[in-house]
Amino acid sequence: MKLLRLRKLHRWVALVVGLQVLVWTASGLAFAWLDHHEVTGEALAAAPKPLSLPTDTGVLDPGRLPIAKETATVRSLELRQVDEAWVYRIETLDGRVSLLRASDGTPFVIDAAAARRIAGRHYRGTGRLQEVRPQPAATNETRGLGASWQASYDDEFGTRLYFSTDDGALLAVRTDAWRLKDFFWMLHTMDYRGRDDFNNPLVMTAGAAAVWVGLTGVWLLLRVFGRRSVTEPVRSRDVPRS
Amino acid sequence: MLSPRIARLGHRWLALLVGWQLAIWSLSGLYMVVVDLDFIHGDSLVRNVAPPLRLDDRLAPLGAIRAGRDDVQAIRLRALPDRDQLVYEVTRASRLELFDARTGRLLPALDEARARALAQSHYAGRGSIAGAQLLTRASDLPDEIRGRRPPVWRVDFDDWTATSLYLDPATGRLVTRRHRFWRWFDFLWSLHIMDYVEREDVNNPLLRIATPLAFVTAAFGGWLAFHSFGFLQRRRRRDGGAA
Repeated sequence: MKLLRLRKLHRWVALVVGLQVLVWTASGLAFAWLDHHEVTGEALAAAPKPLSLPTDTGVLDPGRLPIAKETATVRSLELRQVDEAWVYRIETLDGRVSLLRASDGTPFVIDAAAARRIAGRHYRGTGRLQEVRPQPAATNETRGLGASWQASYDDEFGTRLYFSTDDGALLAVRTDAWRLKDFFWMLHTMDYRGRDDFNNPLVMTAGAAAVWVGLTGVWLLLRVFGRRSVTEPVRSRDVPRS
Repeated sequence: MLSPRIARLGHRWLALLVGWQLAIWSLSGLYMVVVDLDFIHGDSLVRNVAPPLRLDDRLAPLGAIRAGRDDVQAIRLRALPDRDQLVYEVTRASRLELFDARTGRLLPALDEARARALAQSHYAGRGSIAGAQLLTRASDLPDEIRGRRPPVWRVDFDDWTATSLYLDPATGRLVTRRHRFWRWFDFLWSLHIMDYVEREDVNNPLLRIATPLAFVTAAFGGWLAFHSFGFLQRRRRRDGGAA
């Protein structure tokens, strides 16, 4: 009697979260079978081998940069190479990033031509660069990245590389496998807008219900399969020895 | 059409096979969605200590630092937050070096006192330092920082979440932070993706087998639910009554 009632309740709750359980298992299946290396596209792009700063290359000291006169304090400052030029990357306290040529402190801008060259040095695939274009607003593919240059390739993976318009850094590698994974990720986390917040109330509720369905399901299983053994003779090792 | 009997049998036997894993998936999944991810990352355990950097003439000239070093790849101006010490962090082909940005003097690797002081300045919790340990060999590194390279300072705190802060001895940077709830998350994550050792391979054979089985189990269950709540039975009954 009690078992029957539990089974009924199990069924009703399972009906409600059942569809989501199906979605979870389907998306989980997708994660397991989508090649992780294709998803990350790690073989398709890599930072070029860093150059060394020749000791005779003229570099302004940070205190002598023009910016030091206007903004005495910055959040971060780094001398590095961008597009094979030596630049200072400076982030001011308001969060803005700029590049200044290390030789004279003049601005260094990542324009389309620079983005094209930078993309060429990062790309490791076999396709050809189709186009480079600015990506000012966030899309599913560029969420969280900030303004970027998008470099599209005609390879079999549908590769797109994203580079920061601020400093030319490689921000993301996106492939068809990534897009598919991201779609399933949205379904898995039940965050249909931002896709990344898996602490949302919907998924919490569904998760709690699924736990209940899972636990009662296991319980029911044990009871149902256990029944058969009731009719079986007691095995000798189950009898306590005195 | 698939008979409900076969669906029920299939649902039961498959559930017997993957039922435990389904329970583990839902339990571990529930933990991961209920506990706030920023908390897991330890955002509440550390304060943001990036003091503003003053650019003025008191900085040591870079020429002195660059002299005799022809493999410099980057130089970064930073501040060590425990005593607002300005430093140049120099990336060379083979290693990182730290210089005092005022005197231009090469700084030694962090000793224990400095590691403790830096850890304390990052720490935002209520505990105090329980111990500090320099991990120098790869085999010394605990699993919770797998993938990192030694040497690294581990500084443990005696708070209720058993916080550990890890610092890079060469640069004084906070490498990462760990605590009880992160460790649980990581353990449950390993159960969730069924990669029990390295905890990162989502393409492992076990998961690749378990997920389709789970999907079919759920699909059978769906069919059963459809049938037992079902529209078919009711219609059949109605048709039978009319005859």
